[in-house]
Amino acid sequence: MGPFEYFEPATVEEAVSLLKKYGEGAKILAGGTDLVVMMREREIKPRYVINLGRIAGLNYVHLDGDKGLRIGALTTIAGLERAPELKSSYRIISQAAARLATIAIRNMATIGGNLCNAAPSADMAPPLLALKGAVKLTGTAGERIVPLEEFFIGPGVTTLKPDELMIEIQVPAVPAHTGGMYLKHGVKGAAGLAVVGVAAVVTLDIRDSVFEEVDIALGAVAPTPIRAKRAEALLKGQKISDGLIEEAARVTSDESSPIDDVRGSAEYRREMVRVRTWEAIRGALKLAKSV
Amino acid sequence: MAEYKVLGKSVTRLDALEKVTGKARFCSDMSLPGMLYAKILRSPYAHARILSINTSKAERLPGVRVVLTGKDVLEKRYGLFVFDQYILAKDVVRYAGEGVAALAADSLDIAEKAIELIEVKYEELPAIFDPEEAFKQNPAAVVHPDLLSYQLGLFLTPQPVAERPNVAHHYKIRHGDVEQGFKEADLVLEGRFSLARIHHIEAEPHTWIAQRQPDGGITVWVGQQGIHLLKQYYTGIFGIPPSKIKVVAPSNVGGSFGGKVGLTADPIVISLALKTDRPVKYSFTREEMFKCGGTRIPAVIYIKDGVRRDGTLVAREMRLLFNIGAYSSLGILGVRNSNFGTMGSYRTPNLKVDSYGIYTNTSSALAFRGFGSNEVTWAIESHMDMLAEKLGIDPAQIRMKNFLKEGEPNPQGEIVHSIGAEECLKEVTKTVEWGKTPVKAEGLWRKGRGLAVANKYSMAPTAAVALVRILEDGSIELRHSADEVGQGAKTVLSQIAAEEFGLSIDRVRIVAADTDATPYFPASSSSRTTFQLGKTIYLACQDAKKQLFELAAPRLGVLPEDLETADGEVYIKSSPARSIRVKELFIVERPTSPQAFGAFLEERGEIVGRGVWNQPFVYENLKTGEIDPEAARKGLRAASFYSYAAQVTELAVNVETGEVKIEKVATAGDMGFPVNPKMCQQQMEGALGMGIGIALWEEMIMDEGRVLNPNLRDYLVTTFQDMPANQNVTLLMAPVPHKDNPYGAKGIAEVLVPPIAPSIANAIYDAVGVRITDLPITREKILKALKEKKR
Repeated sequence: MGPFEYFEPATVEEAVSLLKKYGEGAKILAGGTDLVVMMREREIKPRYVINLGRIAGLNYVHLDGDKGLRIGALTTIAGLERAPELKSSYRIISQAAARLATIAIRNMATIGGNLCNAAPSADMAPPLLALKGAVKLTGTAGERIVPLEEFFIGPGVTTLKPDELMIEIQVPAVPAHTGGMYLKHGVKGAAGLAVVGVAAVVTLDIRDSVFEEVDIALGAVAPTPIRAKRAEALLKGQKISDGLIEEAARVTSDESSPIDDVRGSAEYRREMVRVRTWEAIRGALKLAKSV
Repeated sequence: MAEYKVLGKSVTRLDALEKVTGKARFCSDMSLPGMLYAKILRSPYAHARILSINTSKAERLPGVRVVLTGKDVLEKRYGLFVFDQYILAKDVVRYAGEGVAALAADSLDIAEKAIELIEVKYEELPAIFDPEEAFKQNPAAVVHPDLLSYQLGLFLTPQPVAERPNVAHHYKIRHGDVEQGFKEADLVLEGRFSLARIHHIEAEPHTWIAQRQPDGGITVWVGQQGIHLLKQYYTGIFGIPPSKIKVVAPSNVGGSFGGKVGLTADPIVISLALKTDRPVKYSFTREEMFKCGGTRIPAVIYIKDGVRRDGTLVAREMRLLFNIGAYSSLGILGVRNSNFGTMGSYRTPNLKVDSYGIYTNTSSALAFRGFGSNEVTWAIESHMDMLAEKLGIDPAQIRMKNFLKEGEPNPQGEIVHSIGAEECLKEVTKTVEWGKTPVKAEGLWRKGRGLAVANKYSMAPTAAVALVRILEDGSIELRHSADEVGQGAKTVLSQIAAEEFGLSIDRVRIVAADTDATPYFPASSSSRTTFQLGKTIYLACQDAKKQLFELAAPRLGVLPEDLETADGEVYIKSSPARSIRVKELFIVERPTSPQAFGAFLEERGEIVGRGVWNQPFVYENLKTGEIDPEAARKGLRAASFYSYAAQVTELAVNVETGEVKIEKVATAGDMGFPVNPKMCQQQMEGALGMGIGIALWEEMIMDEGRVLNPNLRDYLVTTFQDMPANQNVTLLMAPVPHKDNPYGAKGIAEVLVPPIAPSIANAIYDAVGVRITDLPITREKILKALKEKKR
């Protein structure tokens, strides 16, 4: 690890002013599970490291009726895994949290860190994308809210400006008869990065057995986590049928643009997108029927 | 069987509490006053000529104390079998990760910074990575063009092959006449199998602290295995007399699995330490562990079997191509020792094996739990199932039919003794009701089951010495040189002493693994500790007890042979009430005075019992691999002993994703006698985790000789979540005692790994009808094979 200057601001304002002062040379440390590894592997050599650990009030999960869900950016993944607020409508979030890496890492890693690191395989991105989440950023120019879909730009690249900090994740309220499922396909069952991640959130028109709303998001199969919009459009407003779900799974697979890497070939990934999407939609449907 | 009080009991591991509370000390935890920290600059190229090295910037950095390059280290090459390696590269680097320069500085930070200031200019050379390409007579690159002029070690006599310039060693078995055997066979079947490059993932990366001594000698604290072997190696390389070398393995070594046997960065660290009066510490980073900390030997194996209609094996021919890396290191030993695996289980009247150690521009292989057996067992046990299917015979029956029996010569000529292959297989098949056809599932998840059997030799020749002191409070001190790498040596060896002295285990103390304090034992490797050192500790106990009884006999008015000891007392066997406390035999000078001398025995000062055992041994004939029948009849052998294991794995395969769920496992081991049954089961559990990973996902992914996944993010190891549920794992003992250990005990640590991968492959075949021959059996490979099958 190269030498760096280290800060522990006590407030968001203090953190922002440090970011403003040091700009591109500075890196934010939240849980450190990605940052420290990259520093040790010398992928990055920040001159300034700003640890948010002492900032109070950014670790929360607030459920607020029809306004939806707000999650503090410093909430740990383990915190999300266990949060009672995420046991019903937003279960897909705790489901994804439970599949991120291993217990030791989940105890350290934060949701803000997982999103800002912007790995294409980030486990928290697909469920939040499928829930139409947004992120609240704050900087010298003030606060702004960015839909998560517009937040990711490329591998490791986001719309965050050098003097900006993510402080909150916002998720709109979930209508009745909605179910969500996140499926992570890895090299093996537990631990490891996603080879393919699929999140499906389905709202059902229960009287007519019609897909009222469908959101499908994918991880690890494109430069950023993505939505599968053609597949969503194919399903929306249509009568539920196995054939249609199969077709949507195929279309989702076509919408992915995976690469070959140490975790799997592009060909295998495309195939797994199809299989897992089919499974995720059916799983989400089942849940939607039950609530 | 004798009634034991401590042996055969599941005594809690002596180091359990200190390990779970994080208090156990390892070499990595050590620091010495004034210690320097070392870093090594490593080649980014797999094969390149070094045009220039400029270290001046690094040397000028404040806090840098020593900087070395190839020109500053010993002139000559060193090696364990072939002397093919310089301490730091001179002129040419042969793998990505080879040490080019090294330095020691006041802090790790300074060392890290300084190492980046060293400038090296390289000219890339054509490189070769694939063992089959490298094996060719005119390979695209030759790793050691001057190989034939290299000095060779005396042990095992490496046999380079003049017309195949990358072959470091060719070992052969010529038993019977395979061509004749194939003619007599009703079925001849051929196959090709391969195994990926995998790494041990020891919890503690290799660590050394080396310090030059005022007398010109050196002391080295190591997180390594085999202090006396290391001392021998260091003497050989540096010419420092053995009397001036001290090697210490602190009370715990954080895992080995074979990866801490032999040499890696040792000569570099010692070279640095010899240039300074300050101690020098060096630890591999996790990335270095992958790049230069040793691997299992990747291999390609060709097998051709001839069998009769009833399943009788009449001939087997194998070609083993081992990718030993750029420097032969322990690879040479693997080339030879893998052959034991071809001879230890099955009667094979005609056996021909050609085993080659092949240089490539990749990092050196080391030993790996199941050294050599993993590779041949993968091929043989997969092939046994393939033969059984062709013949329409049950996979268990074809194995039963061919197992060697006690008292008959094996293909090497060794008279078979203590063979538990059949017992292991019987135990596991009984447990899962093997004869009954299980219900086949339809749908996405298809179920199947498979079995495999393995043997693992323990290496000979070996000799061991142990010392036992009787202390003035009647407790016992053991002095031995087995390093505790997590295998449980401390506990098992203490159990033996406790049993012999009739003491509870907490009255045995251990002084271990310090060449100045503990007697000769090569290394706690090759599953030999319980068998070999266990025996010498038994002998040392007998020697100490004899001396004790000689002292006590006159006091009790009987002969020494009338006496026995227990609970710190010596008593008369025929009337146990008449006894004397051991501590009463000691005279304690002025016991109440603060200047008390301690204690001594009037006649002898103290009792030190000594146990020595030298394994009966004979070298095999290098032309045939066989041993002299006359010597064999006298009980001499080329291997020390064989352990056995069998496993049945039941699993489900997802036909859409290639996922494998291990659902149920029955595993049995033949350890001769389980000194500590619980710890034997823990070895089985540990092996199962390791074996599942090796079978299904562990692989160092290589590109042009570089490791693409040198981290635990992308090189995945088994976690608890990948294991089958406890209630679905049956761990069985099938002990067949060995006459050369006083309790019949043999080692068990290694043999448990080799059967796992083939049992899984056989189960996958049973489930979905695809035969994967290349390890690991990834989800992707299964899915691809399923698609090809459909076509």
